[in-house]
Amino acid sequence: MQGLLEVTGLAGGYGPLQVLWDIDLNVNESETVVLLGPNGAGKTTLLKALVGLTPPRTGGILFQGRPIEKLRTDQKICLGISFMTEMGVFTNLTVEENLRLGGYHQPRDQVNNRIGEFYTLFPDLHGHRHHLAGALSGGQRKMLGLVKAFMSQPRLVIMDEPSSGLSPRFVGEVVKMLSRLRTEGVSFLIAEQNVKFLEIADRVYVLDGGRINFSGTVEELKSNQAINEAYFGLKGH
Amino acid sequence: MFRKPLDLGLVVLIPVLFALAPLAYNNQLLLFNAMVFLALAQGINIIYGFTGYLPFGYVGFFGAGAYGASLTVMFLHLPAPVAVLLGGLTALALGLVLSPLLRLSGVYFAIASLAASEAVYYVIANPGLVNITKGPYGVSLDRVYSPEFSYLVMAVIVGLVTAVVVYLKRSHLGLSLKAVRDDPLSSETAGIDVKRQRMLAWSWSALFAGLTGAVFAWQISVFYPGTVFDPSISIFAIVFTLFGGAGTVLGPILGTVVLYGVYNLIGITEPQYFQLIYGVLIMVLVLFLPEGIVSLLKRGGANVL
Repeated sequence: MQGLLEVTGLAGGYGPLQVLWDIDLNVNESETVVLLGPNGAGKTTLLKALVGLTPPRTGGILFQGRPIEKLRTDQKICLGISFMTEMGVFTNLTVEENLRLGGYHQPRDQVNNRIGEFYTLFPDLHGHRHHLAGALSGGQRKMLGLVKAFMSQPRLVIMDEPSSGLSPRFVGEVVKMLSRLRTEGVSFLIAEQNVKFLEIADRVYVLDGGRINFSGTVEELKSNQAINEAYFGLKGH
Repeated sequence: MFRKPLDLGLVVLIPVLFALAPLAYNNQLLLFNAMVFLALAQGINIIYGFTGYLPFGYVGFFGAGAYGASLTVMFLHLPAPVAVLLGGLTALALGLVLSPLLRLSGVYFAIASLAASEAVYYVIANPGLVNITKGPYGVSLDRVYSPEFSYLVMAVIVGLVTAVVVYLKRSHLGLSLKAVRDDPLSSETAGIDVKRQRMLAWSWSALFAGLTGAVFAWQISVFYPGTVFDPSISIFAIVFTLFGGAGTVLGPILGTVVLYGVYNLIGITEPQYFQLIYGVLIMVLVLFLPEGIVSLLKRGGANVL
């Protein structure tokens, strides 16, 4: 497998407050990587540092072999990285405007085609296309956020807690939706607390206290008694 | 760019109507001032309606345009239309100088922009600069005085600013500005260069205020710094925009026509109660129609331009 995103020795935080220490992380082509960690572990900060919303202090970020740690957020997005925030959508804009913004740098007819495709895939969104995204239910909003993240035809989709604010049933829906989108050959980096997302993970990182303290496959995680008990209350095999 | 007949209709019809209006109504100065406020209201619409920045010191650009044009006429002896253009560019330059203000948001931006316009006013009105700006004594442009020509140029500017707002309303650029207004952080993650988009709206807005101020100076031809830096000019234009409905093309047009019309009507018929009636009217409308009169049309299901 080829490396798509390679992070080495990354440190970062907000102003004088350091949140992340010495992060090494990589995502390969067509791979789904889940970043697990409890609240306050630094998951969101790590994702923000990756896309440039908080500038990393030290360390390198390579995307498709090219150093990107000094680029502005919008420039990184143009390279083929897509970022889905926890909120995910523009609440004061319509569903369709949201989708158009998702494909902001794509040619107009390509965006139209893609919107059409997604409407057939998610007829729910089509019914609401002229409604404000803020009027959608939490689940629909997530769906829109997800679809929006795919509008730019990204190589890598970075997601911040796609399960947050959703009922367990909807979390299952989101996971199902992701496994469907995964077949497009896109790579995912998903920050989560919900272990349900391990179902679609190829590899897992565990972040705690701003440091990576586990990295490996899902099987390796499940057989690691200490990590399981410490963070997830999972029973070992 | 103009996808619907209404778009082109508005852009052409409004200036033409104004250009012909003096044939039917002989108070040309009142019509001219209506155009000035219409252009300023649309200028505020560009920056406030599309990016959420409320410029309380908007008059600073107006005054900068007026003085830019006046100094061009007085010292460079250029023809008035060229002076108008340079007046617009003066305001644009001031906008670029003041662009760090865009780092502020909400009420802090509003206050800082007010302070900035006052600062420009005091620099220009400073007796120490009497050889350049004529300081507090004001300027006279009697050499180029031409109420008819300047009236028509103002009508053209109204057409241009309407065209820009229509373009923003319809285009990808306008959509990205609305996204920035809604959520700057998410906009960055949508690949939008937030700073650049804000600068664009700010520059357009400053340019039109400057052009308007320049034509205003040309029209009245004798004025004092206090005339073109009067904070109530900003307030009126803001009220017209909000009253009609920011973020739409029609809002500022309706707001200016209705409120400026009422303003002059009350001013003529009931001069002693004028401020009272006007104040109450605005309060009632803000309380019951906070999104402007176009929200009535939206409630009726219309897709308002």
